[in-house]
Amino acid sequence: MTERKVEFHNRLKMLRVERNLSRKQLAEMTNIHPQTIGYIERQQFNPTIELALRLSKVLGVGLDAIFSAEEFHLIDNKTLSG
Amino acid sequence: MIISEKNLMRIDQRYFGSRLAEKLKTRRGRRRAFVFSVLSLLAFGYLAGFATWLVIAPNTVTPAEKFFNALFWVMLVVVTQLQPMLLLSVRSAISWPGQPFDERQQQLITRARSDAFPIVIVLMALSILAGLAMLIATISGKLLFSHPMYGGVPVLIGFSVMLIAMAKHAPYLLLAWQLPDEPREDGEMDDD
Repeated sequence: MTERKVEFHNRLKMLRVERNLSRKQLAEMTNIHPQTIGYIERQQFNPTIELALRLSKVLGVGLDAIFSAEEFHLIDNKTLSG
Repeated sequence: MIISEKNLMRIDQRYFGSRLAEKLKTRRGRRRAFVFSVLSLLAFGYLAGFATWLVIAPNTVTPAEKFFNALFWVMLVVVTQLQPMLLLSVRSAISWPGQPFDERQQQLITRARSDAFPIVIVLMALSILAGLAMLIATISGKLLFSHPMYGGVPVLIGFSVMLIAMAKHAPYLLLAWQLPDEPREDGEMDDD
């Protein structure tokens, strides 16, 4: 059986910047190495569900607002107006 | 590579924010450190072999012997740079005092140890084979020295020490080769 690799996408950086948090601050709040935040943002590391939940708690949003198996798209005015 | 917290703190005090530490955050810098480390480990074998030779035949008289004696001290200085350089290269992947050791780092270390395992086995086997080959060649008279102790033992010790040191450092060498560029540490809010 061949293992199928799922590509994950995230908008951690956007959410972090929105909250005026530096990588170091977010890393301290989640008790991880500051570089790990950088690697997650660059999609060079996929966190475990446990770390993902910690990040979601600290950022105050649901998991699906941070991580997705599909690419996030920018929400434009057209989408908002329905 | 087993190293005490005290030594890691010392490396931090000496190199934190230095140009060397900054260079080693990039893949290119790390790969240069990898090459330097491999050369240093070869030098390590030379040091062990030459030190053994000096103990066995202490009077260096010929120009070649004087050259190798001088080279010994140069190599010694080079080798002292090995550990800080290699540790700084893999700093973001290993447990460091005062820094959290998280799942990414654990994953990297575990994978590096697992990937290095076949290399370690091969290096260990080579050191055993080198010993056997040296023994057979000396006994059968194919390897000639003025006295077998002068040539054979130092070469064997140097070769074995080099291979064992490489085996010991293999996971860190692999990490130094494989790790991508580090994200810049911040302060910064919107980098890359």
